[in-house]
Amino acid sequence: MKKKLKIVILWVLISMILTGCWDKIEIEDRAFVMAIGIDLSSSNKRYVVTFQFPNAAQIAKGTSGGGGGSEKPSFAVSEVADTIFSASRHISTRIDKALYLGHTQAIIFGKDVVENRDRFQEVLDSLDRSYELSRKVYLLVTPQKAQDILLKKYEMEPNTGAYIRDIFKHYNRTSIFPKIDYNKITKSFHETNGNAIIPKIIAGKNEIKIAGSAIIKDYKLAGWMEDDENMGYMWLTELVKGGDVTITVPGDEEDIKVPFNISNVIRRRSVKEKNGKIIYRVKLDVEGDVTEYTFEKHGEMMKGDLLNVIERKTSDEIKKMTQKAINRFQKELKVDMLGIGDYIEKYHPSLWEKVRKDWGKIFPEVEIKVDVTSHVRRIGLFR
Amino acid sequence: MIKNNDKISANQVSILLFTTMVGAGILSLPADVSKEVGPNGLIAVFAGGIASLFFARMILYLSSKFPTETFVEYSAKLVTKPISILISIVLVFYFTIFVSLDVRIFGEVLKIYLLPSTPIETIIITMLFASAYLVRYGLEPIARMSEILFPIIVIPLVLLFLPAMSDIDLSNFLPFMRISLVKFFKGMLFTTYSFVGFEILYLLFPYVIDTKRLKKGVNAAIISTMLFYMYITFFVIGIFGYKETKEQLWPFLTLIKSINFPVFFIENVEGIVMGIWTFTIFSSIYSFYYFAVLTFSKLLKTREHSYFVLPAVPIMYLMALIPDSIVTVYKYAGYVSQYMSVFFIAILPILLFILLKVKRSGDSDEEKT
Repeated sequence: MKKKLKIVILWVLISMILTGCWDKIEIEDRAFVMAIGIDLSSSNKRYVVTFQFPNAAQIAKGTSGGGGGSEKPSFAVSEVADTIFSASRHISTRIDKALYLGHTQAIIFGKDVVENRDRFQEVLDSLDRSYELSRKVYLLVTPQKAQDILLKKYEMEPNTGAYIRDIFKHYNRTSIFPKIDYNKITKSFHETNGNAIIPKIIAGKNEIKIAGSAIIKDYKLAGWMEDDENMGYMWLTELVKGGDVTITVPGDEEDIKVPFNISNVIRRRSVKEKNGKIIYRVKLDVEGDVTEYTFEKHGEMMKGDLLNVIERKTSDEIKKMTQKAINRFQKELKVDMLGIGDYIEKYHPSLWEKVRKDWGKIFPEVEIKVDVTSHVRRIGLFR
Repeated sequence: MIKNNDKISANQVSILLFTTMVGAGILSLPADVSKEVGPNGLIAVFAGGIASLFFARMILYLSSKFPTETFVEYSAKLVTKPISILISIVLVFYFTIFVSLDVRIFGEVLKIYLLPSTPIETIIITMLFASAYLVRYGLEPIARMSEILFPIIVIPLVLLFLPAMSDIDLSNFLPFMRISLVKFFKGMLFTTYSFVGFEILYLLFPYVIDTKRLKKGVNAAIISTMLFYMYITFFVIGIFGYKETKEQLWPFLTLIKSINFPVFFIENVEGIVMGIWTFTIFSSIYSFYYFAVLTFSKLLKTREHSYFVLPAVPIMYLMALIPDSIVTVYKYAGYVSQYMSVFFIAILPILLFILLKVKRSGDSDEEKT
């Protein structure tokens, strides 16, 4: 009798332990959010948060061979809320799945969020504190509303989050937008106390485009950078990994446009102090290939100093780009986005001690000199 | 009941020390050091390791003078009985605090990252019972457990970070040593919470078979712990920079979030790391647990430590639930590591060392007369 009782008690105990996991959520009950859009709301709540997630059921069908057919490949839902977190919670009253943010690929800020200093700081903090969000997320700013971008379906890839991630994958073909993810942006915010560059996204009718970037100064949108400036900025901060520069070489009748395809960039920097003035020198060593010239001049590449001309022109072109970016940051916006303060702090700490306090005033006075040397390494298959 | 041979080898001591020291501290160590010493976090960890090594050897030297006695017994000879009892009670309390702090931090982290709707009480009590089960069987099974867990902890953690190598910006460690020495020592002090654990040497000596090799074992344990911490600090500060690191709660876990696996089908490795880290913290919990119970049984002069294992569970459980939030947990952890740990790691060994020398010279004087 006693033995039986013991066994019964043991059974009860074991069954209590073996019930399994409290937190189990079946995979089809989860909504894997791929992209989040954040806008300010015009109603009495603060934000409009849009979540985009693929239709997991349809993906499962697709892989098993039976076409999904009429079912939607991806969903997007918006929610009005006072905080980003409460939006992600309140949305569960409207959808039948549990939102999971761990696989989010992109977060898009509407222009109005970035223009409002307090709101933007709230949003950034909520991203920093999040347990689920990965730090490999791409942050983007749009001059439109983020909601408009996410509610649309794009034919090329209906899953907008994956679409954005894939565009970032081949950023090195153009270098007209910086490949910086959340990790780098938040680092920049922490180190410069509120300055960063965030890539810009715009939506066309049937596609999205990522080009240029937004300049954030003191947690607030200070302006936009277009392709040229953007590339100039990236030269100066060593973010360029590829891309092309188009130069003009005088031809017989008409000028010839020659693309210079960048394959490698090396940057060297130095800082000197002369008569109380700081001179910041950047040396860029650019390597690349010429991929187009003109048909009638086959054979001329090997002759004369054509390559030297191309190299010189490329250097000038790159210098012009960097000058544009320098003008923008140093003269117009007066914000040190070029990493000069950071460089001085790390490599010339005693100089930094002197200038740290009023770096904001000293930065516009710094003399920035850029030297570019380019080298043509390859010329395509014809001489 | 046949009492098993409760003796361990010097190698086992070495591994036990490593697994005891590497615990909850690993999560917050880079943030703690960069708060004080900025970009010189690596050097602070190194200095903290060397200091720990020095004091660990000192404790070892002390206990080697009384090869058959634990701290409870030999301290009575050095600092009169009442004081020795008092210190021993504090030591029991101290080990118990570490069990509860570790188990609480474990519960908090697990709740946040893996089990959001599981009550933290369940996580804590499960962990405590699992440790209690192991602790009941004594030192030898504990050491064997550490031997099993050691490769499971070290190998994956070292490998997991490698893909992040390309994100490291070495300039984050500059400027080199441009801080005041006071700040540097303060930064070193903050590493104590991570190096805490070698105090178990106070009690370990009588249980070791090959005591001659113990010196080498202690050296190996502390240096490898130091290298392991430096490895993680190197990645954290190298990727985030000290300005961001110092504001994070658990930079170690944030680092996991920012690792990019180039060709890997798993996107987020947090789950894997959580699993490994569970072993890490389990190994420090059971070790502190055992030595708390052991010290207590030595105080009461009982033959077996196992009587006190189960009664300790509710005490540790309640202590773990005292702090209201994660903020208070770290406040208490700060108090404990800055006052109690410094006492047990640094002040007490020096004190005992001096007393030992004075006593010895006193003894030899007596012999002469």
